[in-house]
Amino acid sequence: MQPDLQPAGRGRRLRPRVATSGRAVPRPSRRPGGTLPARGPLVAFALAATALAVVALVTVRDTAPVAGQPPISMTCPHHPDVIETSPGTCPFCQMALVPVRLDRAWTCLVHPATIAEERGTCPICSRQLVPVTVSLTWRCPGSIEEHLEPGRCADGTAMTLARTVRPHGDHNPRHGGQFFMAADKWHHIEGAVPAEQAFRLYVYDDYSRPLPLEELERVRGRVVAEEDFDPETRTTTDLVAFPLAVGADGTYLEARLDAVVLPAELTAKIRFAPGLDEERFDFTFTKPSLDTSPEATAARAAASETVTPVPPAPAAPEAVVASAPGVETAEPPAVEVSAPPSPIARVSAGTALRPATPTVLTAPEPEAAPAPVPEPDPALLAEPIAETIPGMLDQLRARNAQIGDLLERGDLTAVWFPAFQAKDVAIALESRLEELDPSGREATSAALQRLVRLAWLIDAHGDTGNRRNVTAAYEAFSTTVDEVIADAGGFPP
Amino acid sequence: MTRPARLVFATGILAAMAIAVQPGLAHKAITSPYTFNEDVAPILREHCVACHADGTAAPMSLRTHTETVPWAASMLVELVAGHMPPWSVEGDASRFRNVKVLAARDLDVLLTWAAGGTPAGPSAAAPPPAPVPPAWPLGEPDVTLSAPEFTLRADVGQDVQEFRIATGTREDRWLRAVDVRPGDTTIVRSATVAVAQGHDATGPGGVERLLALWVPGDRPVPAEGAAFRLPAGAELVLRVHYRKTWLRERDVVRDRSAVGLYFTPARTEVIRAVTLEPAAAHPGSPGAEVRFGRTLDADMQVLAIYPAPGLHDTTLTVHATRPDGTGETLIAFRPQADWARRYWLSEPVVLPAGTRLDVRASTDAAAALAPPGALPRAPSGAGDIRVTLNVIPVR
Repeated sequence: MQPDLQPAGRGRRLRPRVATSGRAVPRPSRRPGGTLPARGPLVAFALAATALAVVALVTVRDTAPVAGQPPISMTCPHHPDVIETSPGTCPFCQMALVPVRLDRAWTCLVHPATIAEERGTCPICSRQLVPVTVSLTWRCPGSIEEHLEPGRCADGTAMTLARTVRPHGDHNPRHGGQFFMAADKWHHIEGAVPAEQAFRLYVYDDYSRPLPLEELERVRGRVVAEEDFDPETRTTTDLVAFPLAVGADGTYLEARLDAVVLPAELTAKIRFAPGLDEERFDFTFTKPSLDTSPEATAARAAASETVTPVPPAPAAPEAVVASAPGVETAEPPAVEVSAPPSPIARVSAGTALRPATPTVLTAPEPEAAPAPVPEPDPALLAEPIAETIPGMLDQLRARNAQIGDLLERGDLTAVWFPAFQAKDVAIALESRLEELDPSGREATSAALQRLVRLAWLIDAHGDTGNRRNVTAAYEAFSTTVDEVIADAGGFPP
Repeated sequence: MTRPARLVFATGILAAMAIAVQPGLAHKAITSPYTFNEDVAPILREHCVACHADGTAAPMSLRTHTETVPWAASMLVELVAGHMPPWSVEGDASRFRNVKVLAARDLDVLLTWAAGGTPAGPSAAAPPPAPVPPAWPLGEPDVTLSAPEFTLRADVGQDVQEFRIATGTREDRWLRAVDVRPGDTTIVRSATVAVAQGHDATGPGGVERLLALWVPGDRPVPAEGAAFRLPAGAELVLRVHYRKTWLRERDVVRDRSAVGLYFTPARTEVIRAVTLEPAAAHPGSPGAEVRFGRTLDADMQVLAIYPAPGLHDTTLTVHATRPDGTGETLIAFRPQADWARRYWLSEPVVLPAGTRLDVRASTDAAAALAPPGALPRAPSGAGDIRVTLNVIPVR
């Protein structure tokens, strides 16, 4: 049992972001762009159905503390990542919250039937077990009724404890940054570049709850601005790196950079605990991160009401700004970022990150007049599959290019969308194989199968934010698209 | 965790599996439009349950929804990694006779179901149970030779054993196929059958001594228009890789495997081996590429190709360039350790004398080509880089 799974203070909202008016802030899509039509509604609907089925089976006899057990939390049947400490309604769907007793357990990444109280190895495959959030219920033999506290069955025997893995939380950034999942699927991170030339790394659990300080302090890492990769030996050498240290308020790691020039590519290399492998997360920032957390929103509101002279941020190196004639540079920060002086180590590297077409990082302007709605990114729009084979091949070609563009922009969490769109085209194309010249039919069939597999691989790697893995999967994908197009030359026009 | 504790834990896992899949208790979101009984089971029946059933080398059965759900996450990883189905050839599968591939849609159905909440669907839609595969897929062999009994001790997880088996033949015989029947299918992971040294030396253009590469679920392919030569009085070497799954981790397991010989009635062309391997040792570093080859000194027909058993995570391409400049890729594949099989070409490829055979071998960036969570089956680049072509002369 891990007390950190419980809210830090009674009544504190752990997940939902609530605006000052008390209305729920619309949840951003899991995927960037806000236009992705894919999984959100379907997931929510299906989640609701299953969660309702489960909740209906749970009997609450007493929500008082039970000795030796974690306390009761309240969750939404539709939105299991809403976790409160007291009864109420869901900020998203207004349904009444229902009780759940949450705990941390250990499970195997690929054999989830393995659920253990302590860390260890999977008895099936010997993988290291990873932490996971479970709900605790007690049952009697032959009954599907679940109880939230231990007790005795009708025949006098003790109820059996069941640990059920909870649905995974969403991947929505909390602080306006980029959000990735670690390989253990427990740790999640969000990298952000706020206005004061710092890189912040928020480290969460599987419900995007900040790690408690004692766990955050065990996280070791650095943010790398420049590195050298030797393809022969496949080894990487850091050229410019900044250590990450716990930030002032103990909720994030931070590295102080002398200058951040956008767009910036930064790689966080993180070891979540001693003994674990180091993981890399590749971030690309094209604009300053606008922290939309309730705390930051409130701080900005308070700051805007206080007319206080604000000292400008340290100027970016002149050479960098001057080296990009014609590029608009922003004014110094007009809004002071609320972060207090940080105890982090200051690394004096004076390195401008990615000097190409720089924009010096400044504080965002959240109160500015609403910008015109940008055109939706066609890479993130679904479209019906073409009816003709040449049309399908064109779609494959276009989706392949879109994945490449997103990868180029560092939008790793979005690459799955055009990949899956291409996958659906590949499946449609497979159903038309009989129209292909027999000599090329089997080769095309094999390539289409590989295309589907690689689309899923791109999706898997995109979530974990390792650009090299996504790139390797994409290169194989792209080669396969070329094969399909070449092999499909036998299709009649 | 100590071994007894692991055993107790594993037993607990089995009990937990039974609980975890009770209807209505799954907490995962159902996003899959495909259900097990309607969509998934027919695919598993066709492609998977020959091995993934009780009492097989696979440690899990995929016959029913209840049996399959606990393995959905594992299925996802193995399918996306391309480890399953264990077919290593890239490109045109129709070029080969013993194909094991999934269609693009079937693969997507399995992945979508595994990632999307594993719904059961109406039980009435479930296909009938798959028939139990015969012990000898080609029928009763002409001769069955049993190996001595071997005992895999309780404290041994895996082992490799070689058994010498006398054939007792008094004259040369010709074999169209050789098969292996495991005594205990749960521990026999792979096997090879070869003619023992001393009868025919194998070398460039030499007579092929390796008669069979057996892996679970593989149906032997009878040679057509050619045969393996079994010299009079030959001994066979049956080499068996034993490996326990977690289900039998602490068991004492006994095995008495058998070799089945299928003769061809008439004397025919003897299958020979042309081995291609680099002169220098494999550099081993990931991403490194090795090129090697040789030139044929006689007209040949290529019947089959196989990698060195144990080779892993290395992509190999064998390309033939004829003296007239025409060329073709004979095979492009990425062998997996423990899944070495002989790939029989559907149509023999004729290569005239002077044809240049070039092999390009590169060790993969394996981590990038497998999803997070996939475990390497062997060290990347493990095994000898070697490719053997089975050929017969062109008459």
